[in-house]
Amino acid sequence: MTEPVLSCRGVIHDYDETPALLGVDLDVHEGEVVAITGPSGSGKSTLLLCLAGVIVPREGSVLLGGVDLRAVGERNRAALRRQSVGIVFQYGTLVPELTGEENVALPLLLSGRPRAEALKTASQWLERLGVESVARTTASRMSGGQRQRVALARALVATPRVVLADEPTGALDSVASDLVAGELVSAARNAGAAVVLVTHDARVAAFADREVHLWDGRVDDTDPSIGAAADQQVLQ
Amino acid sequence: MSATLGWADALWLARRRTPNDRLRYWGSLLSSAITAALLCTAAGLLALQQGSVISRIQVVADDGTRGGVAFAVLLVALPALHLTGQTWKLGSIERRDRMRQLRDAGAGTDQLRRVAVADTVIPVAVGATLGMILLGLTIAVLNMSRQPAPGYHGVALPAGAVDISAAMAVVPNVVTASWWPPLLAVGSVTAGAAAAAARSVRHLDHPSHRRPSLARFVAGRVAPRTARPDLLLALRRIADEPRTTTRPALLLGLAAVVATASTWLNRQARFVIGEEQWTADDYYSQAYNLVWLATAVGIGLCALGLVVALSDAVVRRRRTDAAAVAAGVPATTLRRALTLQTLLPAIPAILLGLAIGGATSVAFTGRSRGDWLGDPAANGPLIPLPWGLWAIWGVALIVVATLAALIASTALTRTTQPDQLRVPA
Ligand SMILES: Nc1ncnc2c1ncn2[C@@H]1O[C@H](COP(=O)(O)OP(=O)(O)O)[C@@H](O)[C@H]1O
Ligand SMILES: [Mg+2]
Repeated sequence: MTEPVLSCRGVIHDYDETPALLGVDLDVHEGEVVAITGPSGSGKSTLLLCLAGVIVPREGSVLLGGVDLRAVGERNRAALRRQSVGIVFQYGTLVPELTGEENVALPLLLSGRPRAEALKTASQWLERLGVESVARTTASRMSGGQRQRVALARALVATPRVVLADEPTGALDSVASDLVAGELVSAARNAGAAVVLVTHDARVAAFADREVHLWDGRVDDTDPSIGAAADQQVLQ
Repeated sequence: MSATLGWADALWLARRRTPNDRLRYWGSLLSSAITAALLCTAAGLLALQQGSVISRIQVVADDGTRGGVAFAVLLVALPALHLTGQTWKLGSIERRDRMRQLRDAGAGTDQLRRVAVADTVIPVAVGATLGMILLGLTIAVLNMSRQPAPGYHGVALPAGAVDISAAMAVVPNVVTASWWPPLLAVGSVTAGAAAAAARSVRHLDHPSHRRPSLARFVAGRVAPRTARPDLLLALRRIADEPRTTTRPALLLGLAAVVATASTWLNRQARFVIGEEQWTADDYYSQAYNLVWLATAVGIGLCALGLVVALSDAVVRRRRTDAAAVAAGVPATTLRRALTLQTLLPAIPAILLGLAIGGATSVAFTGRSRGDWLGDPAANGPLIPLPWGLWAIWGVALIVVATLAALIASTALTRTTQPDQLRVPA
């Protein structure tokens, strides 16, 4: 089997005494969509931040494209994120003063692409996600659902190797949710991205290749619904 | 329930703290102390009885120039007022949330107003009073430090100690003159703050009522043409909240007007009066030193106001900035955006101020000695323009603005930490 694009081992993290992750292992391969589910406070967002290298966990290792994130400094981790990771934060956080189009174009502008080209690509993505109407609207004036979809467009625009999305459908109705989940799957299938998707919604989780259930900071294998995922892990 | 909320309860509600409150209290206290002291000094000068007053400082002693000194002090009070406004606004987002929660819990507009006023008035009133006490102490110390010479009811400082102590010596005449300037200063600063606080509860749901502004218009036009992320961010932020940096920019422009004009007037006077007379008579150097001191204090206050305004903006944007950094936007881009947001309005304002100050002062006096002496026949040689000094003022003002932005941007290190990502919108 090929090397996983994203891999973590024994990840333990706490926020001043509050334990958040108590030893998590996870491998995500090219073209694979993994859904992370679990109750609120089980550590899903923390795990995602560790996978992105935004947080360096207290213990354990995270490998992104074979690079140990602990071994590189924050500056290099930021560069790595810029080049190969697309992130959607919970609540779809955007740069509030920029328009929808500019928010999506930002990663392209940061990598030195000319403005016209960057904006053209950005507006194509906005259209794909059904939010072309907010291309010229500043993010602070968008609704929660619009913001989430613009945030996903921003995460996907630079065709990253890894896509991390924290509840990207939290503010969406079922039609828009299906659209968003469909785009995440196609990022994996067509562009070969490794996709990790945190969700509460069983309907969205069903789009994934496998589901990992978190419970109090641990991967919970006792849950019957993740039989398929467990089988796959045995195969590895 | 309405109208039953007493001042004591309002105060209790107002003092339910948010993390920014301590900084805001101390900031308001200090800046209103400075503002009140300046207002008191200006009012005191204006309150002096007509005719000549005996003072070490001739520009104060002289009836004709005293008004000018009061005007200069009022000019310095402008950046002090700006600083007071900025410190008072610290954490306004959190306070607006708190007010909204109170309203959702059933508080009426009058009650909210009362809470807001109670919250504001205390540090401002205490600060303004403290400013008066400090002013009085300064005078007392200055009075003790010398033997009163016969005929002086102000302070006579040791000869030669002109610069700062000369300016301080304005103060005694002010207070001995009248009892009402301190009351006026404390009262107007406090009343102004209370009025602003009462007004602030009107816009709980529409915080950003967008008024048209030149900066917003220009930034909104230029932004769609830029491909540089830092410049794009800076322009969009200027369009979004122009006042954060345009008000300080205007004040820096005003400082440039005063600085260039006084530089020219000084040079011109030296030429006309002659170096000998200039050094022999305190009057000229004192006047010039006072203007110089006022300009320096004004610029310092301006820079402080700018630092506070920018830091507040940085703190306000912490969540979205942290998300941007987490998503891979380099921290240096944010830092440069902040500097550009400051300099894009400041540089044109400073250059314009230099041009206006230089042009009007030269036009006012004319360029030759003959003009000044009013002798049409004596069109003597032209006095060379002080280009070098003007350039130094321009550079100094731009450096001050840049430093303020750099100081404020140090806050970014803390505000872009990943734990800021947690707070739900
Ligand atoms: N920045 C933080 N500071 C302190 N505690 C935190 C922070 N972020 C998360 N936590 C705590 O860590 C645990 C896991 O949180 P989180 O990863 O956000 O869970 P989830 O996304 O599954 O709801 C919770 O107990 C939460 O309260
Ligand atoms: Mg979460």
